[in-house]
Amino acid sequence: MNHQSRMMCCLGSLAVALLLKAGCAHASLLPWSALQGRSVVLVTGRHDASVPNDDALVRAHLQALGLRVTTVTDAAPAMEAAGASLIVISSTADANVLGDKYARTPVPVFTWDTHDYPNLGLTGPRLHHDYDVVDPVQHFAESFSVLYGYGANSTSQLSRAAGLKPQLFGTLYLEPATVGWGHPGPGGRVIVDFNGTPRQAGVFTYERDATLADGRTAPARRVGFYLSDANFHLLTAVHGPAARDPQLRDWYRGLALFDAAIRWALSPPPPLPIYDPAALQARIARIAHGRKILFVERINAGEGRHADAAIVAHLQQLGFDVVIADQMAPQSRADGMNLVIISSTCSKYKLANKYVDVKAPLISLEGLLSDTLHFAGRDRYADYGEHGEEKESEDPPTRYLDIVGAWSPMAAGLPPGPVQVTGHAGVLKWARPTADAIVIATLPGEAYQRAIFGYPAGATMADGFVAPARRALLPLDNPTYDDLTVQGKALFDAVVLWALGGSAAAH
Amino acid sequence: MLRSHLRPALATLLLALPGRGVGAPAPAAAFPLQVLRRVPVTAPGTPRALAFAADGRRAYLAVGRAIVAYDAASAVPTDRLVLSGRAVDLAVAAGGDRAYAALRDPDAIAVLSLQPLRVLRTWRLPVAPSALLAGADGRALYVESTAAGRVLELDAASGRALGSLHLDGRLQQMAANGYGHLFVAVADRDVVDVLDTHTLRLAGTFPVPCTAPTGLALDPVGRRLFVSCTKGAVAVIDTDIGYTFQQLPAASGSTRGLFVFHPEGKAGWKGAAFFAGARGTLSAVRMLAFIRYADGGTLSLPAGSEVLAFDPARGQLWVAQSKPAGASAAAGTLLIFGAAPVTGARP
Repeated sequence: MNHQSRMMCCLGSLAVALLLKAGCAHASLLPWSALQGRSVVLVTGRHDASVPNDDALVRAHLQALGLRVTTVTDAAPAMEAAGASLIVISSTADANVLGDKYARTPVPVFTWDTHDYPNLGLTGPRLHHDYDVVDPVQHFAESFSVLYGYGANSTSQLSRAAGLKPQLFGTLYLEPATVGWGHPGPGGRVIVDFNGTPRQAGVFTYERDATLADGRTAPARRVGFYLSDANFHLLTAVHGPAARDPQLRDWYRGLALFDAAIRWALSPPPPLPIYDPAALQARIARIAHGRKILFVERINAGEGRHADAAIVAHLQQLGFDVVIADQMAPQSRADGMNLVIISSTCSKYKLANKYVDVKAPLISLEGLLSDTLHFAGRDRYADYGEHGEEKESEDPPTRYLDIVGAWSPMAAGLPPGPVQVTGHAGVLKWARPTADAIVIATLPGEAYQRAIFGYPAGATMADGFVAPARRALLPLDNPTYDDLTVQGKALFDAVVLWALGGSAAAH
Repeated sequence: MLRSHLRPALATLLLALPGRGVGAPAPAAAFPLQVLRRVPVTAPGTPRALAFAADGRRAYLAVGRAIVAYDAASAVPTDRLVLSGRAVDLAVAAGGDRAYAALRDPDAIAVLSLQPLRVLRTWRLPVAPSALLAGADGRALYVESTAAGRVLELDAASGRALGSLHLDGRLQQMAANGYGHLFVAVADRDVVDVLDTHTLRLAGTFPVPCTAPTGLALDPVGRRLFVSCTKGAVAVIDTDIGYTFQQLPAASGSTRGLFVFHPEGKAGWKGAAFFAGARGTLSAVRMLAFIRYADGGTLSLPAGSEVLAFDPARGQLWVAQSKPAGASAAAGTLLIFGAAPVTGARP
């Protein structure tokens, strides 16, 4: 190889690396140094001297972080927050006074005003069901249990910035606590939960354009946090000798979590993907050369045989080197591969537990493998299931999915809401992934039956399994690929591109 | 960098707030003790330290170049020992049979027998001592030198230097928890340095969310460290994690502190931290529970009243005052505080 060839080769590799990064990376969190002087509007209630609150402490804390803070009351018109970089809503603000005036603001909102969650569309409207406030008077025992939060998500930018791990941690210092939780909508990401259930999210977020609980989309980033009126000063932190012990340091994460959430809310969201199937294919084609995909199928399958062939042909046309493996082939066939795709023609019973721990990224086209692959729990039809399968599903066949994570590159730039993915109504599978998954689409009208989702590398999947590389579910029943609409094929391509984004190093 | 000044920045605010935390703020309580007796200190010089013997029968006051022994029950002086230097602090060994006096001019530790009161030996020090603390296990003696910015660890039996550690800043009161940590308030850094007593190395630092910490009072059972700051605040720190979970108002000025359980007896407060201030204040923090404390009130005293010790046998707090400016007779006064006598009680 001469010098020029080597140079071209290096530039080519660099371009591929940059492309992968651009294709999968989210805008990173801005450092605090870049956030200095940003304006924050702190919305509070009218203070009663006899009732403690920490609003002044919060204000001082935000100022100490370098932010410019303007305090307004809950009665102030929403216009007063125009131009701000962040709106922070304290639980001292009266949700009835606030109404929905901040619901559509294109300014990020960080709130611990739990009763205001429904107004913002962050949760449904039912107290005790969609959201709740635990306090020592009404719920004495529970007010102790909420001193322990669980790092439900450890791979989001916010989680990483806070150093959150998939384990318990101390939310607030030892007093029985008043905290709020919410059950976020389909596009929400649970960061911290209480009592072992993501339904009781102590910290949760919505990316811009993620689908809210009320079906609308978030106009800007949203954060719900577990605080209440007077316990900001009890957010945990550790100093002295204990701070040198990683186990103890990871326990006292409350204040770090608060700060990371503020930082995440203030940082720019990722650019919204643009729906352009041709451009998407061109991007894939630019990285496909030299990349190997193992396509695992039931060779000579009946139904689905043609669809499998069409998928392989499509991948080859994009430039991938596709290797076909029968469902009974050993997992070692995946060695050296950049991506493994498991076809829905495979028998769950015959495939057994293969490819669970494969080091390469993996896409499952079969939703019923969700338990074996640790995509979801093991309760069939509760943790995962299907629509449209005769005798196995009460739900009718469908040809639509609801896009709830339009912000993600996996959504192919499709807008939030229903999208027709197949020409005819058919079988579509779903699962309930853990909070560490990025959810792209749900079954129509079933906010928690997630059809398309992905786990980043290192994510904690079901059963505590840690994803060795990216994992994604893209449910295509045996013949479905042949019936995909243009939008459906774009979703397929986008998921393939996303899955490969994590394999640059392997390449 | 932002975080380093974050908590201190909140301190003033915390104190300015009408109340914090769950529930309504606890109102400031009346100071639990009252002056029962005033005892003139006849020895010349400034009182610098007070300590009770382990059996509670005698109290020892370091004043000027002497140690004066008192009968704890009557507060009558029983003995007096002249020292080779100016006493700056006094510590009674855990076993109770001996005490140590930190001396200046020359810089030394005088090892004292308590009964009879006499100097057993003297150990020269390489630094000017400013404070002294006997380890709970009786094996170590910690000598602090504000001038040298150093803490020395001495073998309490032989005086042999076991360790020495330089600390930055203006070192103030020390406290030890008896299970591995020595705490040193550092006034000009707004921190409490935590030393590992096994290695005499800096194990970490607690940020203190108030300005210029001087006085320390340690509850080794609840693992709470009460830190009194010059600008008028007491921070309550969970020593396991260095976390200030409560702050209370307090009198301003340099102070020294101590913690006792049941200062008024079993029927009274669960516990209290007392801080005696050089500007003439005596403040109390009342223990309501291990996670909840309240302002226990403040008494105004003549200036120069930062020497204190608690007599657990009689539930009395002794505070030694310096001689008032211009006074010529006594060197100072011992104020003996106790629970108010029950009135109207029938014999």
